[in-house]
Amino acid sequence: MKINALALQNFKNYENLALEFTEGIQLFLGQNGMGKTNLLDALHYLTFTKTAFVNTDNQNIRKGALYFLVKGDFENDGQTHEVICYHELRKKKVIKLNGSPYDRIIEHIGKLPLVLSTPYDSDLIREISEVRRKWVDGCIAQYNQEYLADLMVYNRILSQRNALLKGMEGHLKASNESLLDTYDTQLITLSKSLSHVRADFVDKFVPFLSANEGLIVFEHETCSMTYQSQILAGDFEHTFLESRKKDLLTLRTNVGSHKDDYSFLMDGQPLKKFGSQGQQKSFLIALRLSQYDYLAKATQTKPMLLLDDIFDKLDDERIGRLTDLLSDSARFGQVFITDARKERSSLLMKGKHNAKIFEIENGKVNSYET
Amino acid sequence: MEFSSKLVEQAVEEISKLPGIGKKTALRLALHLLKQPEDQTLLLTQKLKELREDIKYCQTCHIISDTQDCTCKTMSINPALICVVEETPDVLAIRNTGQYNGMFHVLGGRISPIDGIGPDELMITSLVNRIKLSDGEIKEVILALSGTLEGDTTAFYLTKQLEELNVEVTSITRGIPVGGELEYADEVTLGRSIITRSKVNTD
Repeated sequence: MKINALALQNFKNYENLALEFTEGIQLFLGQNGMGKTNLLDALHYLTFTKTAFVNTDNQNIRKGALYFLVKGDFENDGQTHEVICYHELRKKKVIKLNGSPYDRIIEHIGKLPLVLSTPYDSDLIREISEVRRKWVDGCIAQYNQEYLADLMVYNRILSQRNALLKGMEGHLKASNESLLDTYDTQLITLSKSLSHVRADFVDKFVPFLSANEGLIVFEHETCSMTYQSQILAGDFEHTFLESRKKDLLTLRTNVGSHKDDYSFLMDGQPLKKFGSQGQQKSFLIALRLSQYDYLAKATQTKPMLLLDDIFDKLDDERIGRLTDLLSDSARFGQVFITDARKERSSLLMKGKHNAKIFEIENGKVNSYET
Repeated sequence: MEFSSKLVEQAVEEISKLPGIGKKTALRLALHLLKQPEDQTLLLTQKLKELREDIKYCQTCHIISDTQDCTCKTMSINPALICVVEETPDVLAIRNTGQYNGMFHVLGGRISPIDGIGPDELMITSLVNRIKLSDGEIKEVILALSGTLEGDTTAFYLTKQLEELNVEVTSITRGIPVGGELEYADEVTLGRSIITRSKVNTD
């Protein structure tokens, strides 16, 4: 999987831009606020039909413009595909593959495998369980459409059940009890199947994490990840039904897939509590590389790898090792890297043949190959 | 929008509350009415008033009707079948197929607590009672509900409610439209139609 060309119109700070990419490392250089990350976000948009950040679609439109357009020309096994994302102010967005719009945009997810690392990755360690669940769900959804469909049904039924609990305000009528039974049966079945996929993901993911721990400079440390879920422990059906009394009091659902969590471990200790900033940063790079390896295996392609500000907070030796690693063309296809320090990156790319450099200044881009 | 007339503004405000009608269309409709003979507008308001005040829902099947006792029982040739639908237009759609000659039951919506619709807001108890009172005359309940998650939940809920009533509960099948190309069918529909595949009849 690779992208040959990217065209933007009124996307974030770009009025009109056309870029051509090569194989290997694509380096985006420029000072802060010039729009390096916006280019990565455009690639993310083409894959996931949404931005990687918190913006709404209307906020992605360049100031004063009425629409944005992101177009990508992709190539996979000699076949070319054109993906267009178009959004007009206050209208529904349109995603087209080879000229024909999707009826259901969700069908596009997984067609273009991509892994993105950003400075916000530290949220995966520090933030609440929802962030980690979203990450795992995103990893799985890229190659397992059935899982994504189940997850969406689960979330919809969950909000219906919660709305029912809120509406009852603690008074349980026979008809509502029977409706709760209906929702419970559906949620229990879905929870179990989601859980099996999640557990299977972690089982298969951990070996990749171990393989990457050495590459990213831990001296003697081991990396791991565990899955915590009420669903696989003991009699889940019983736990779920037992929780109804509590659900009626708290007016929300207290047991199920939406309570799952994952922990990241270094030498068996939770990284959240014991990892230093440097260790956490290194771990997160290993995590993203593992996600890349995992996805490459699951999809039998080389996904696009996007690394935003990856060199920040790393010492020179680690940066050197990382760039050596990333120029391994047997393992990686296209790697997109942003850096605010031009001299550092130029030095790193010296002697690397498969790199293209894009210098970015105020929405204009100047490119050359090394 | 600022209007030169308060009266136009108020009319536009009311008309634009209708589904699918925005402020601009509402204004166009209001101005159109003003250009027509006065009688025509008065006739429209009179008909709307009658519609609102005199409309009845059949006490048996809850279809929209002019009387509380509609023709549902006399029109149905087969009183052993009862088809459960969400709204009155669904009845017309199924009747127009010419493939169904049983009775109907209009629920008045589907279960969706998010929209404030629980089982008690729908004509579910009435359906249960109707089957009970039929003394075994109703043999089969056909669920013809929309293929959404809420439609499925409603079907699931109804099936549970009807479990002990000694009637057969069936559902219309979901699948490929007649005359439709397979490759254009969405995966979920196609998957479902494979699971519920049926034997090919050569007779």
